[in-house]
Amino acid sequence: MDEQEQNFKKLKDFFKKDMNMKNLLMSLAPKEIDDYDEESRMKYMDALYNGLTHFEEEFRSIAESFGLGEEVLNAISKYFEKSRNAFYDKGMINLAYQQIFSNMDESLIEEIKDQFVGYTDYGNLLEIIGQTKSINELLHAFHSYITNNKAIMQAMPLIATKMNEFGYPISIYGEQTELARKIFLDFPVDMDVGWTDIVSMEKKMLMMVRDRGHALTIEIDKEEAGAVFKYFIPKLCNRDMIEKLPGINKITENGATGIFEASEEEISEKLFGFIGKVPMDSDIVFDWEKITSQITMQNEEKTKQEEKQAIFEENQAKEISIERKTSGIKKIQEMLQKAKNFIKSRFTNEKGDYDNEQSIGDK
Amino acid sequence: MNNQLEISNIAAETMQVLRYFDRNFRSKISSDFLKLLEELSEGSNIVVKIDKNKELKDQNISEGCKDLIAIIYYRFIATEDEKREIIKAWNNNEMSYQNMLREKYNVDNIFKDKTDKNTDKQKIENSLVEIKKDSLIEKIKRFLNKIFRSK
Repeated sequence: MDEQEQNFKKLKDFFKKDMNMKNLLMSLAPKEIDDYDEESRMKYMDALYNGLTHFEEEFRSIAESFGLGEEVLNAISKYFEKSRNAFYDKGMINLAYQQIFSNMDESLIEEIKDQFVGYTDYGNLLEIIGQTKSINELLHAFHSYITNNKAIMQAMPLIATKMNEFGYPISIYGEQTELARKIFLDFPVDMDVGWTDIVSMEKKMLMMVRDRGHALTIEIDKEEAGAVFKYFIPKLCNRDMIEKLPGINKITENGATGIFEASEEEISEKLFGFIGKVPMDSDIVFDWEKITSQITMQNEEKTKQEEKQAIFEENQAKEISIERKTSGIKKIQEMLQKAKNFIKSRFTNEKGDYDNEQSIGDK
Repeated sequence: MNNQLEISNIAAETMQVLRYFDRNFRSKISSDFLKLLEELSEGSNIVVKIDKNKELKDQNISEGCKDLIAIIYYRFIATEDEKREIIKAWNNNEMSYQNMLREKYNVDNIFKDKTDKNTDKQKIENSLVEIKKDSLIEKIKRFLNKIFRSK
């Protein structure tokens, strides 16, 4: 198996683990019977505790598989140690499940959106792991990191590539499936998009489209009678256009997410229709009034700061001036002139208002 | 000090001082001139400590900086009447300064002092010398010594 095929296997394994962990997470949610008596509560807590161990093994396996480094592995260990220590503090079983397993902190989700954006090199997984408090958040972090990662996508075995009319390649990697073939061939070359990378797996596809919403990512899950499309748009460009997108469900300053589905026959039409509606930088509408008033406010603020700092008055400058003598003034003038000539000699055709002036102090 | 470094330091010092003038004052200075000072400042690491409780003339700034502020005031702020007043002041100050230097380093004055001192000393010494009258034998001795020495 060559390197690209190995990379592809890692990605497929990730999605399998991702799915399994989500299923485990859901299965660990407390039911009424778990709170029946002391014995059932103890049993449930044990199940949660064992779940923690399992999750830790999975996350470590993902991190090792993608070569994320010792620091990430240590951060994972630290996270789980913290979770285990907090475990017995939670007391009530609902609380334990919510806080250690299922909670999703809005501000962390926004942070993740800001950090893991397609076709960019920033994104600090280590920092994000340090901020996660629940398994759900950790899973979301890894998922975003991997699915918005251009380097991971482009490390897969290439199946085919074609150029669009704007000079950008549309490339497909991974496994050759019916869905992959259909989407690749139907991808319109006259649609204005930048670099596009598609990774195809047996029942899933990942798509990263540059220049639409900066770097639109779409996760396509093949269903029996069609497909489900989950998308993330990191840059809004035009809020009005975003609000009209099919299946839009959340818009914040860090981007927009949504989900829609299509039947077998509608897959290409709905997918490319959707991509074509995602706004680009050219769709940005500048609110000049808002921008001008912001600039005015900033200038006013700056002026206030400067006025606070002003301690010398004009008459004090005059006072100093009257104390000086001609020889000192001439010396400084000559130094300035020499310096100016030196600067001028580095550039051609430069004029300044110091040219052709008589020396001060000459009668 | 190397001239280039000196003017860089003066420019940097002046730019920092100018920040403590209000916008109205600074807006009168031509942007080309400020640009020149900005460019010259780049070669300097000088830091000016401004005492907010003191007036400009009492600040710990260099003579070069004061001269440059004077140039700025003269060129961009002063009225025509003020310019005449300033030029006159500069020339008067220069004259006073030159007079002071002349007094201090005048050759005549230097030696004058020394001569007076020596004359006084001599007078004192003379006043202490006893005047002896020579005896006849002493006079003859002196005469014979003279003759033998000249040979």
